[in-house]
Amino acid sequence: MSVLAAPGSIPWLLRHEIRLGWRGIWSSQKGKARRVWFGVLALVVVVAAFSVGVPFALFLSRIDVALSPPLIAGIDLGLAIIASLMIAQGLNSATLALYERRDLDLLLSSPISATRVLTVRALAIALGSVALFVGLATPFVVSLAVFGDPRWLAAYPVLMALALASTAVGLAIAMGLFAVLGARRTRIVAQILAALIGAGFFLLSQVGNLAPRGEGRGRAWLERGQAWAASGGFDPDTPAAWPARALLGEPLPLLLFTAAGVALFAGVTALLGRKFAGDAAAAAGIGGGGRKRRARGDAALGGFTGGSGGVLVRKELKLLARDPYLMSQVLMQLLYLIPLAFVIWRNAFGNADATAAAGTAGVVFLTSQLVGNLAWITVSAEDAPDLIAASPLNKRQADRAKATAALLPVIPVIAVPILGLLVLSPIAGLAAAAGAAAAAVSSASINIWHQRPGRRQDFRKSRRSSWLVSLAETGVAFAWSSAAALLALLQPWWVIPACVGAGLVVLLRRGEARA
Amino acid sequence: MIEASGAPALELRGLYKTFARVAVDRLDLTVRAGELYALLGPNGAGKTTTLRMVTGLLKPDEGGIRVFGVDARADPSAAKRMIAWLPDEPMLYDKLTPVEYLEFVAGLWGADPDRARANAETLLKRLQLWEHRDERCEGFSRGMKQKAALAGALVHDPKLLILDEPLTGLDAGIARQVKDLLQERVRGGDTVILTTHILEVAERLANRIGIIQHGRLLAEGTLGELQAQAGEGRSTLEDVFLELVAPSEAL
Repeated sequence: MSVLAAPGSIPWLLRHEIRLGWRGIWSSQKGKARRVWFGVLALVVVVAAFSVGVPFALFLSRIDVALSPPLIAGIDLGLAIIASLMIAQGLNSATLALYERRDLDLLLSSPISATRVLTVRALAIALGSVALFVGLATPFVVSLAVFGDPRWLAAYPVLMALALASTAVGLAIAMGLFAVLGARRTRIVAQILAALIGAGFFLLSQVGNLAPRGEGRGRAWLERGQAWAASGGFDPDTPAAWPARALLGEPLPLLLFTAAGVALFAGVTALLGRKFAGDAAAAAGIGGGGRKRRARGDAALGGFTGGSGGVLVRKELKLLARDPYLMSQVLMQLLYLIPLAFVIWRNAFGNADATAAAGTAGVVFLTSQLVGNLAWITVSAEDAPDLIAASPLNKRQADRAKATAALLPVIPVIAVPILGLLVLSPIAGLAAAAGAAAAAVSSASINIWHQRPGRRQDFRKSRRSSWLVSLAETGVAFAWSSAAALLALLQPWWVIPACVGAGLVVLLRRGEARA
Repeated sequence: MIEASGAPALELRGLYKTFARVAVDRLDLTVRAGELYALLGPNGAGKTTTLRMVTGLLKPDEGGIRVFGVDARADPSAAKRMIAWLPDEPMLYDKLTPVEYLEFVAGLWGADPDRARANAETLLKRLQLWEHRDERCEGFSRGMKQKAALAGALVHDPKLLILDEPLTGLDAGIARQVKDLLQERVRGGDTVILTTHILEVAERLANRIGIIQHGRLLAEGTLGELQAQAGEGRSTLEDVFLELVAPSEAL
């Protein structure tokens, strides 16, 4: 055994983390399917390299890439966007590292120092963050290095340094939140913050769109940025040029950029290592506290009313209401629809028909997504399936109750935009209501027919456990959204997407019947 | 309540189930009304599979199941109404309080609300969960969870209580409470079927004991009858069990 991989060493632990992560990624694929996926991925990289990367590299090799202020600004912006996405992922992963037990108890109870455990876990997070960008960049970087200049390979250390620094920032934010908010609230706040950071650049880019045309704060900060660039802020001899120079392979900037990333990572993990063990222990205790209600003394019990279906609906609603972390995950997906809504609203502004159609499509799609998510939770993530199965309630009654529980919380959420549409255009409001009803029933039915059992805490992973069903579910949502939007415009063509949506639902029903 | 007077609590005839191998092999078994029946066997003998078929959680490949005379395969709802099932891992919801859990289970079984409320209060007090009735189960120890689940199993007044390893992982105090409650139910006329690897529990509590292996009933009877069947010098149930079941597979 090599010294580097001595048991308990950082490389040894990292190998363990990578192995677990790797097996986690492929856990749902069996041998042959895994090989097929590998083949498909390799093919995608090769095709991307030859169809885009190589022509791009040949094009760049013919021109002189000079460090100009626009190029520097562009690279800085690109790296900043990548960094923000990495910080978001780092924050999410760092928070999960605190709460997900897995082997944490084993590692922290071993003689290995908490700092080393944190370092390895953070390294695994950084590798996870950088993997996607390395995958996306490889067809270009390799082509550029082969057909242009080998210095383009500097992109890899730059990306890794960025991942290390971003992970360190994400980790520091997670543990800072932990110190300020405590174990119970950190998980939810960190998740919301991560989503905001992740979507931050896109949201910021829409500030200008939201502001009245020609003036306002959104335009003002853009103009200030342009003025700063014009005054030499992105000149090649300024500090702003160092990331770009590192990416283009200049030795000193590359060395400094990489060293800065490594130093930030090492400093944060060294500083927070001891605290990590304490925070992880505190996070482990939050499930054990059990929220207590006000004591009722020796008062007699109330309740115990309602039929079998009624108690099942009530139980599901209680469980949803008492799991704010899960609900925040469900609602978080809506956050990413907000920028899209901004764009649609802005582009449709001044055209009432287009606004109504866009709003109608948005409401229907939103309904489908929300009902689908909630139906997965109530149907597939049942904590005590044997209890329900052993009860006299038959499956149809249980399914109906669970679908009802998934639909009820969505009604107040979509009622507001539907009322708004009714005011704007009664026909659009009615189309939205009809489309939302069709989408809701379709999503709930698909989740009942194609159950994907999983634990509530694995919501994001398990929800996508069957990509075919997920794809079909999204397709049905798009079909109903399109149909409703066309109906809002009184276009007879609404029948076509409606038939597509209904046809997909029938196909999925048949698939269930065969299964 | 659909109940054929004088019928056995449970009758299994030719019950058969295969997975990758035969799990239950044409099992015939009769449990009389009002008795505590212990079903013993080595790991993988088919105990849990049998009980899951009785409770409607697994569909038999062949064979008949009658619960107090009701054909459980033809009318599962009527049979389920008389049964309570308590698996080794409590079927609880962490985010519900014990009272809410009992209310939910009573509702599922369509129990009379007044009767269920009174039962819930009695059971929570009897199992010393009354003080914790408004705390969510997520903070409970394994023993408390098992007690809450047991209360849930009893809240709708089942006539046949089926328990899979009900005492595993419980401390002596909680185990005593559970055993006392089960004996009380049997004295009150209910029927209890349990599986256990703790042979002393079967020895002390059970009116009759059945030993299965490879999905077949090896032996059945009172402790005395089993001792006689196993031969001279077999004084304890452990001796009998080890004599009947191949030593390599025992426990």
